[in-house]
Amino acid sequence: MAKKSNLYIIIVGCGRLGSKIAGNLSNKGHSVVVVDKHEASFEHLSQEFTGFSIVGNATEIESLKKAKIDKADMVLAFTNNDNINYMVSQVAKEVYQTPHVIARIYNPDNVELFKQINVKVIIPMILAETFFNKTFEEITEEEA
Amino acid sequence: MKIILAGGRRITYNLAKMLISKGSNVVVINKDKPYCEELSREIKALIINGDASKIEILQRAEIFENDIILALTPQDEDNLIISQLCIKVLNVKNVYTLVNDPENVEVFNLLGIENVISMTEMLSGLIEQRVSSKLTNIMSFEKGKGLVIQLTVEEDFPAIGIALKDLGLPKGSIVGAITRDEELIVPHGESVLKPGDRVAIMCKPSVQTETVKIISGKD
Repeated sequence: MAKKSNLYIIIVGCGRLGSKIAGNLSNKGHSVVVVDKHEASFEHLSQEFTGFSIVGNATEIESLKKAKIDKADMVLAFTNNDNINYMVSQVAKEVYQTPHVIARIYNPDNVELFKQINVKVIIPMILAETFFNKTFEEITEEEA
Repeated sequence: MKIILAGGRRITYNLAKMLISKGSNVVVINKDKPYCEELSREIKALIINGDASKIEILQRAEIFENDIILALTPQDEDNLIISQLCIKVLNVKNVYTLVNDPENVEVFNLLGIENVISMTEMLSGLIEQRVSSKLTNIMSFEKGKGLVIQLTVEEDFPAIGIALKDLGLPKGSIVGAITRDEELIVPHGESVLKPGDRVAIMCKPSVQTETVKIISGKD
């Protein structure tokens, strides 16, 4: 597949992860819209960020419509609430047929539900576990 | 068959009490521990303390395909995930859920949840129907797809004396019954309305206002 140079990306949740990724993607030339229910969250955004920010609750379809979710190439569900991230992901995937949806989830228990709707997941706990295992192996190999 | 009530506070308590008094087997799942303790003192039901949006908690309720589950939490996203876990993982057929944002009724329907109830929509619908005209009674059926409205014909109604078939009532509405002098008449196209008649109209909600306007002359 040819690499599309400019993607329209919606990021829901402007915490540490959301704001960081928003800056990175903006810097790479993508069009980014950030949605968060607290206006104060947008203070996390860096100088690099050139997109739009929308104050709204992502579980109300109105705020996703405002973000023009029907036009999005990618939706990132990055709030700190797994259930909100699931709702945003399922709405993006099944109501608006968003091509790419990625969600961050803290509790891996419901990961099956995300996989059923073809949403890619980032699970911090599993990332940390993998990193730990790798580091632990390296250390024990050095010791041996 | 069990009825599982997931989340919610007063509504859960009252619903549980009502269902138990009718002989149902009720299970309550709630994440608030003190509330669970209070419930277990007051109602005879299996009370599970835990977050119903987690599959392991739902599994503890031993839900079977024929059981009924109601998602009653105050958060739409929690009700969505509870419903989806029940439908997609536990294969429960009877899943009912509350939503706060009325627009989520359609969203949830699109996501495969059939029985979605919006308190806001229900109440505003009731109020609109009551204030919009001289309607005396309203009943909805088929989850709101159909309505039966009843009104009393007043002296100044423009429909008086005109054959029903010539009124130009919109498609999707029909005058089903007229009560005149205590007698029920099932009307036909030639029937005419008289002052004092009580009319029962069956219609789709989309044409309710138009229908009432043609008969009463008022919005």
